[in-house]
Amino acid sequence: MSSGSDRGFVAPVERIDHDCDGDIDTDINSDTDHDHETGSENGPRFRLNFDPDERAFLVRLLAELKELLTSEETEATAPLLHRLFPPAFHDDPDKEAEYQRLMREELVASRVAAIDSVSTLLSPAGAEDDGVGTAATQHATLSEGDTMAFMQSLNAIRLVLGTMLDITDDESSDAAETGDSYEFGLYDHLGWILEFTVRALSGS
Amino acid sequence: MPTTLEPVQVDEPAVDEELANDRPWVVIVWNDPINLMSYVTFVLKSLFGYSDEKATALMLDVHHKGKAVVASGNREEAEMHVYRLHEHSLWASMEHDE
Repeated sequence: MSSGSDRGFVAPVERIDHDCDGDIDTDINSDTDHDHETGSENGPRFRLNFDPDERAFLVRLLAELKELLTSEETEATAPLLHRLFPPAFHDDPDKEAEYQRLMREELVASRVAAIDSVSTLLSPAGAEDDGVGTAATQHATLSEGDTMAFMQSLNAIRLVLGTMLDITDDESSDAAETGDSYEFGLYDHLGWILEFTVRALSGS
Repeated sequence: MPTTLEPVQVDEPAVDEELANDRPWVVIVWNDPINLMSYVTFVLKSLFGYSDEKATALMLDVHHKGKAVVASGNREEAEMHVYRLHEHSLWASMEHDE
């Protein structure tokens, strides 16, 4: 990461030092934080540096992902859902059917819970509900669990987009990096945000 | 944990059969061109507690060889690993250890 040499550049997602944090708490994701017992009170905090337009745009993408996850599967959405819910057993149809029957609903619920909490974090109204107020929204901090949910949801959106763009092998992935359509641009941009999110969560 | 002191009829043959079939399972992550390499490494570290080195080596195996065994265990454990990998949108499956 070269942020030190790049003055004026603001990372979309950053980890905040403990010393300068502690006054604002918008940890609304604690009940969906089952993956990581991070102790959100004392764990690291993170900040999203998006302007209101970009926040609104991300909220819209999240709503579209939720719509996809919770609507009846159609011919158009089947390949996308297949990528989000890949088979667990490649050679055993019975066990695979059992896995899908037992786990799929839980997987949808888990993804929707993450989407809902991230959408609330990104929405000014959500921050107001938390008593933080609109002015502070830009500086509201996230727990590690919130940031994981943000990462997972963003990654799922990027995965859907990549599948729609027919990125099916590393070659077409390379092509995507040089593509200049709106969708390719968005796909790249989400990858850029994700890269910073992973770095922030990794502590670098 | 039994919650009653009454003797319980146990279907022993079925249990034995299930145990006999419960050979170890391996959890496999398959290469996909969309998930970022840094993301895959991070997910492996965060789900399995692997070191940076081990997670990076596994990610590179996935990337170069097309797949890698990232965990193993009985069926229940393997299914939970697969579920959590699916939660993070990794292309994961499980099969019997050969």
